[in-house]
Amino acid sequence: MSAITAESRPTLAAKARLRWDRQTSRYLLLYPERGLVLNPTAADVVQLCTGEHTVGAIVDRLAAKYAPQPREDVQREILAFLGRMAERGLIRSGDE
Amino acid sequence: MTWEAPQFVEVRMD
Repeated sequence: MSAITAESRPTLAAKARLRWDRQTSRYLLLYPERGLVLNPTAADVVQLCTGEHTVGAIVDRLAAKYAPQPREDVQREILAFLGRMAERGLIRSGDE
Repeated sequence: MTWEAPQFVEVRMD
C-alpha cells in the first residue's frame, strides 16, 4: 500500500460507506460489521476523498473553510488522519 | 467554524 502524501488523490475503499446518522446528528463511516464515528472535520475530509482532489487541494479547501487555522497545521493533521484510515484499509492513496 | 484535528471512534455495529 502506498503512503499518503500531499500529491495523493485519496479515495474511499469499496467496502466503506459514509452515512449521516439523523438520530445522533453525526457521520458514520460504515464497513463490514464495524463503523467509525467521525468528528466534523474528519467527515469533511472523507467527503472530499473522491479521487478528484489531491490531499494538497483538500488541505487548501479546509484551511480556507476553517481560517485562520494555519495551513501547515491542517495539512499535518489531515495527513495523520488519512494515514490512520489507510492503515485500516478504509482509504486508498490513489497512487497504486 | 473552529478547526479540530480529524478524529474517529470505532464502534461495533451490532
